[in-house]
Amino acid sequence: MFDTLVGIAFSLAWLWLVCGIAYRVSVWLGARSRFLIPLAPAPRSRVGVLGRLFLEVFTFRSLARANRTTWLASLAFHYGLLWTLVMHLRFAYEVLPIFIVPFIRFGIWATLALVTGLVILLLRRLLIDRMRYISSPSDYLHLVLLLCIALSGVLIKRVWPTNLFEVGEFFRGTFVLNWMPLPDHAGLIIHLSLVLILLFVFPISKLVHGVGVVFSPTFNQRDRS
Amino acid sequence: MTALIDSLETDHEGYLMSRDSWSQPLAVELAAADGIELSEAHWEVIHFLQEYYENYEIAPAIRILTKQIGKRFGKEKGNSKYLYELFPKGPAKQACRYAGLPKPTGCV
Amino acid sequence: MNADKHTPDPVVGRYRVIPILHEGAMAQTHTANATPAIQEASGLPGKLVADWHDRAIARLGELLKERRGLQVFMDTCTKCGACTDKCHYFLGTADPKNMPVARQDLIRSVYRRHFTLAGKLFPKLVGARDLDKPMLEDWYRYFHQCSECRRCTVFCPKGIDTSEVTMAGREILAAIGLGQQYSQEIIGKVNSVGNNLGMKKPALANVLESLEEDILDETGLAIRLPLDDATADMLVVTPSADFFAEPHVDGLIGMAKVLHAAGIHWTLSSEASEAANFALFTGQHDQMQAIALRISTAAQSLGVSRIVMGECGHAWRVAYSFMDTLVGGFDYLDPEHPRPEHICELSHELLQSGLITLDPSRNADKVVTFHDSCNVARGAGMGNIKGGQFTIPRALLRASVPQLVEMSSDTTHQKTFCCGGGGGLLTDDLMEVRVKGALPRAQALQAVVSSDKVTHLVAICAICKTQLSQVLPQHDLADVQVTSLHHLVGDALVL
Repeated sequence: MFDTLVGIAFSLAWLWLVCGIAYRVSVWLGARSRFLIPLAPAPRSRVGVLGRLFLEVFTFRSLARANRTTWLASLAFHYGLLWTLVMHLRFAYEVLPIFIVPFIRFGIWATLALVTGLVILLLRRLLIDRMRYISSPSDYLHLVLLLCIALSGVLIKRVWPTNLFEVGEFFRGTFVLNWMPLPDHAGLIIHLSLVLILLFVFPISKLVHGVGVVFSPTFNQRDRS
Repeated sequence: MTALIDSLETDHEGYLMSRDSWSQPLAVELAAADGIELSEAHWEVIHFLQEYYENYEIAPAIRILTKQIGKRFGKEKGNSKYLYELFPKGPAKQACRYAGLPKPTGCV
Repeated sequence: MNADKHTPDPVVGRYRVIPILHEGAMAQTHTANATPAIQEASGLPGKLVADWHDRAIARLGELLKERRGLQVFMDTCTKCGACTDKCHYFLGTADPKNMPVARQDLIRSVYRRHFTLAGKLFPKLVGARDLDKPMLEDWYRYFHQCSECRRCTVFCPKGIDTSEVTMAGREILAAIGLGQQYSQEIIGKVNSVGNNLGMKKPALANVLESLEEDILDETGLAIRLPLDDATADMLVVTPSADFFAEPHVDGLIGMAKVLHAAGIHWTLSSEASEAANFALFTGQHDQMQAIALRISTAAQSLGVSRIVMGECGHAWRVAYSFMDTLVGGFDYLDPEHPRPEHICELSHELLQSGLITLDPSRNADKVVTFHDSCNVARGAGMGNIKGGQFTIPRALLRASVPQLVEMSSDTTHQKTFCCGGGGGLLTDDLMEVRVKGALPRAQALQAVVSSDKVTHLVAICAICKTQLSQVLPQHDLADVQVTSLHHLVGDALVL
């Protein structure tokens, strides 16, 4: 019964995530974009714009200009997270696909990068007076939430293992509304509950910046003189 | 401050709202409030400013002011150094205020 | 009463040190509200309306739909702090509300309260705030301590443009009765007279005639400054400060010399005697359109085939990036020159094609540095090459002076610091903000004055020229001459 409830919650969470992001994007696209406000010098071609967006999305170029510590910590966190998400794709397959193997093999380094990045970002927010001034409780809590998810994940992976095959069955079920039992494992329940919170918060918080950055007119418009 | 100044309607920077409220004694008092005693040389400038404003509805550019003062009152007076000696805060602003002219607006 | 009551003490800061926050440091700052007469002339309420809260929220809602940038910027800030030490007003004042993200948050917190689920349910948690009277006062105060220079955007990993937020804030303020006297009075004068100064045609003609005399005395040549010449091929639109202020006038004279030497048949217009468009600063798109329309109307009625913009920073941004959107195409222009051009672009082209000759030895007594104006550097391009706004003025300068010295690279090109007086802040009642905001520029300048004995700072923006010549003395840099680029070009020109 409890497992089914968790399963339903995840099914709803996927729906919420997709619809929430779609709604946010529709709000952005629904707003009128009348003036050309690219940050100059701007690319003159569409390919150039793609290049600019690529550099911003994948290398955080502007952040690199601004502050090396934040840049490195953000890179560590985001790429650590990306790596970890790829690892989690294992749960989508009944048989482990070969491309995921190296991600799992070196997963510990990704986790380390992710956690180190988060800790630096959190310390920065706590220690620098300018950061404290601009931070709301939610700004700290986002970091703490991600940190707790990462640590609980490490726990069930390294210290207090669970049945990964059953976890896979459970998750594949949530996409097709076939809610399966979870392994009886308190650590797993904690990890999954925190992930549910993250999925709920993502589309209605600043976390949506990952999608929003490509809609920024200063980045995605070209110099059309 | 003085009775004349206190009863004035000025904008937020001390420029007269209406040129009708200008008078010679007022100019004397405005200058005195800045620690300046108006001499004949000051009046030459103030009167020129007023005359120019009558004709063109704007204070003269500093370059026109220096040139015309030089032409009228002698070459030695036709330079901004001379005018700044008379009006240390800048002839454009200070002299215009004493003359009761509105301040020019814009990127100036 | 005393006009110079705002003049603060000289500012001496340590070079490139991020200040410790000083909350409320600039909380006493106030720039005068537009008078009822000025507000009403633009169709705005004369004073703060009774239902200001509801109208402000409603207007914010409209702007979010009208300006995609604003909507996206409200949602995507992660408070990463990248911008916190990048604003010249923060560096100069240490007031935390002058950190770009904190300035944006003045609106973002209200946005969250009224337009987001989280902010409606858990305002404290997500930093959502009501638009109460103190917040409204902060809006007015701190949206008038931003020059909309977009330096923070350069460093923002989300591309958030604080100027869009400031513009929205000012637009809402004006719409509920709290316009700024300085900007709104100027917009009124452009609408009624044709330029920021309020200089009518007879005065303008008088100035131009007087300048022609001066040029004749200096060069022995009858170089003209034509006004409303319907036979001209080219309309030159320059900031009206060029007709009035020092050192701007010398730049206008230099432009006239270049155009004369190249044999170009050009004219100024009394209808469009202003390049500046302060409605950009106030975020009022309808006014921005009306002002831009004056230029295209004048161009068409004079029958010119080219439009050239003089040395004005934000005018160039409007001409380069917004004119097309504001007043529709330029099909009346020569297909070879199908959009407004910058005077630097034109002079550079003349230089390259050999139509003018520059002799740098005529400026042998000068050591020059170039101040990139923010709206040119980050708001527009120049020529038809990426980064032309940096290379073209410098190429012209190198051809005009023997020695061009660059200031520190984190204060030039795309990372240039605003002069401290842009965006509608060039008013005496903001003198303290202006002096303090000029600190980073002054520090970078001081470094090259010490190392290379720089004598002249060159700018291509009327605001930069006025601001810097007024505030540099406060930074112990009274000996540096602020100069128009075309002043030096004109002096180097072989006539």
